[in-house]
Amino acid sequence: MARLPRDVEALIARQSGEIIRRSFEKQVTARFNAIKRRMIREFLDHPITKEILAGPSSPNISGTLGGYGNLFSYIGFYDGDEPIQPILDLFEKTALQFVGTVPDGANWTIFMPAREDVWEVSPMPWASGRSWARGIETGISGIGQYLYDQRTSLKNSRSGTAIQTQQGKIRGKTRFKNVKYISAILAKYEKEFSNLDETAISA
Amino acid sequence: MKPQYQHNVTTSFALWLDHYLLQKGEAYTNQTGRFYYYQDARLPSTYKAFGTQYRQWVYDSTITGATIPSGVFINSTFTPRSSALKIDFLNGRVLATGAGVATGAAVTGSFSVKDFNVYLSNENEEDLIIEKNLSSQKKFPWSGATYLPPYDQTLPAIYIMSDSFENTPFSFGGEDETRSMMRSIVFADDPYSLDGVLSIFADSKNRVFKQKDFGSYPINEFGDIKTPPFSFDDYYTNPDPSVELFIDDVTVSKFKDSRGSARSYIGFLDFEVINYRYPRA
Repeated sequence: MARLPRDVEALIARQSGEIIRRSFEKQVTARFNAIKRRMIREFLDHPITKEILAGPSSPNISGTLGGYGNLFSYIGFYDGDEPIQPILDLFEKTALQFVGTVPDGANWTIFMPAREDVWEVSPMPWASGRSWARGIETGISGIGQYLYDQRTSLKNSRSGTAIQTQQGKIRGKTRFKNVKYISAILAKYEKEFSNLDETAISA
Repeated sequence: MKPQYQHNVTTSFALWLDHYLLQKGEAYTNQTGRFYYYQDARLPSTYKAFGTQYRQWVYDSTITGATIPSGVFINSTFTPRSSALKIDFLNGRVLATGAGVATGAAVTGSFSVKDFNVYLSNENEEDLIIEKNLSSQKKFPWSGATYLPPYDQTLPAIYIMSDSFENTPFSFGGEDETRSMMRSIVFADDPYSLDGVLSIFADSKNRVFKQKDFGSYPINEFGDIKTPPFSFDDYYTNPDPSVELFIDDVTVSKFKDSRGSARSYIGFLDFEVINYRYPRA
């Protein structure tokens, strides 16, 4: 079979990426958005997220406290705090950016949060250098629960200036059980996003 | 049970932390003073305890400028460390035996007091901060009797807790990366000291220290050095890649207590120490 000259082959290869980019981009973006939606849904459906979103009156649906209390007060958040929102904002910022064409295709870069980004936006209410989201995976002490109980007692006290009930030993009541959380979600979807490499134009 | 990897890491970490703070922060004060006799029922009856107002004392000879006592003056005569004289660095005292040492003997000496005592602890953070009420046992400022009663833990102090560790596969042939979480709580007397400690250890990220055997802890049951003098085996002075432990991450934070009470100034040091090893070999 006759072959095209090499410089013509090279030119076609170079230009084909540009020609097919629009169609290719449409497909990649659709697949990217579907994965991103799944990632955010998985984050929002995670028992840890749901329990914290439910606030101080939630049951311990994550099982991290052996069924006693709930994560919102155990971590020591203030009523009205929205600790999930900054993490959700990070997930929402996951983006796809066209970089350039290559022979027979195009390059995109995917920006998604790293674990460290999440740790940074999830400070403990009583120790801002520590991350509660990381603590879910490595362990959280009961200090937050103690402080939460103290605040609640203070609010409920008649004088409003003194703590009128002594809380019992924290350790006797709750024992935190670490679970995989953000790291697992990010690792799973990093893999899924990298599978976009295999995207090919369908006829 | 014979000592395991985690025992070795905890011992090595405690020795490194103590040395690093003393050397880098010059976190000690040289003192000279009188020792006072007191009874200690826990000691063998042949020993007499002469205590000071200060503990813990520095026992690491590599700390520049620190005075590491090798003996004390008893009735103006220098008496070196021996089987008849133990120097209890942890409780800030000497233990003397023999007929020649009366309870009323004039005992004096020089030593360096750590700005922060260092303790290994198995307790939880909430136990240490809330339930143990450690702030009532401060060593500075100190008034009252002429010596600190032995054995009680005193502040300022750093409590070291071995939290958890995890192996993840690293290379073919069974090599794992072992990541140990070492947590420490700092109890300081003032914000200056707390900031100093947090700053020193925040800068310790990516440093290396040596893994030592559990049995190489230098202090014996009397609180004295097992084989004096003790010199901390610093990785940067005497490198040995086969025993290195790497500080992969350090997070420092201050404890924020909304009650604003006048307790100690408290901070947290969270270290991630990694090592590459063959745990199944």
